[in-house]
Amino acid sequence: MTATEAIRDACTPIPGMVRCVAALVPDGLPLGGVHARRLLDQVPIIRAAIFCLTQRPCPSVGDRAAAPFLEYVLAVGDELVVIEGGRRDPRLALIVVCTREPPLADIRRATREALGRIERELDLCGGGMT
Amino acid sequence: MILPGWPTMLDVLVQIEELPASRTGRVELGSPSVGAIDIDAGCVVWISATCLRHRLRDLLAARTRLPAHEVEAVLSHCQAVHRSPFDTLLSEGWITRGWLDAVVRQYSVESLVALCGMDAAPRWVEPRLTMAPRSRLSAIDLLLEATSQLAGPRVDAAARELDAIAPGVRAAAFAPIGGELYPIAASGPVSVRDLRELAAWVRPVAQASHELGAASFALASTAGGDAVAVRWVRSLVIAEICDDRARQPEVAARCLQA
Repeated sequence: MTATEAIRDACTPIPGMVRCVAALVPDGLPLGGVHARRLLDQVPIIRAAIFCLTQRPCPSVGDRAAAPFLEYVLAVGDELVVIEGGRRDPRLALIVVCTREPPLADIRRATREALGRIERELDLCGGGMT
Repeated sequence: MILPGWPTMLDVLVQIEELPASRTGRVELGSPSVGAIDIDAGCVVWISATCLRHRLRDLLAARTRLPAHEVEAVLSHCQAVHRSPFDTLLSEGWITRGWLDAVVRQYSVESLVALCGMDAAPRWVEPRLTMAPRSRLSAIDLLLEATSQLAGPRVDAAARELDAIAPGVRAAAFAPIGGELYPIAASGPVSVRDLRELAAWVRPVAQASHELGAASFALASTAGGDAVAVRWVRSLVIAEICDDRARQPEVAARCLQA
């Protein structure tokens, strides 16, 4: 299975998904995606992920321990851009562009699950597939 | 227009708000002759910048029935005899207590901006108040008054936006000016340190929004579900801390519909 196939299989169930790409941050190297053949289309969303995930600010809210932001949802026009930072490997970013019709909670849950699947399939350390 | 010495101002005010409530003394930035921040029992009571001496005269002249040169004479005389000019103006009936407090507040804010603009490291000096405490100014109030002078009419719009948020929720309105995010209004129990952190959390989201072509709303969450909701309203950035995870869907729905 190629990286693109793994990403496609993981992201297809995300409701309202228009396109998605998995990339390495902060390098911005795309690993593969769905409906994301043109690099120019991917550049803004990958750069947005770099801004969000590279600095990794750690909020300390209330009496809970500080932890980094790992998920960002941005509403841009008629679309939602969901950015997930890798849980196992902080270099991994999954960026999904969705329509705004599906419930936000469903989009977030499905995107997290997709990231989990991708992290199980991709071996970033080895540079290949598991 | 920007606030020169903005990082210094944040550092100074964070240090002041974290002083023990019993602490009395003064904070100097650079040479003692350029001015200082007087602290009484943990609160700012007076800030003076030597370079703004004429500004104090003008502010007082605008609120008293005295011409500027007579106010100047009172200031000089009181300085020479080590007496508070404010007590003199009050006892002679030349100014009301309310107007005097407003002048002290305005002058202190402008002096704070001037002192921090010198970009010198703050230095604590043991008790040496220049005059008896009159007003008590909190660090957060000083910060928001200083920034509100930059933001102009945006301050009222920011207050209206924050009024629409549930009471007690920590939130702030930022004005993006000159590449910096200045907090211009806040609600809930927030400190200067909170606003500085909140700005640091919001900055990458704002950069991402710019990259994507202007987002209207963003939600940043940790793996544990703590979140900050960010909205762009006209030329303001409104950030709301979602302490209560159960509120997140409601906050997101409200912002997405707006």
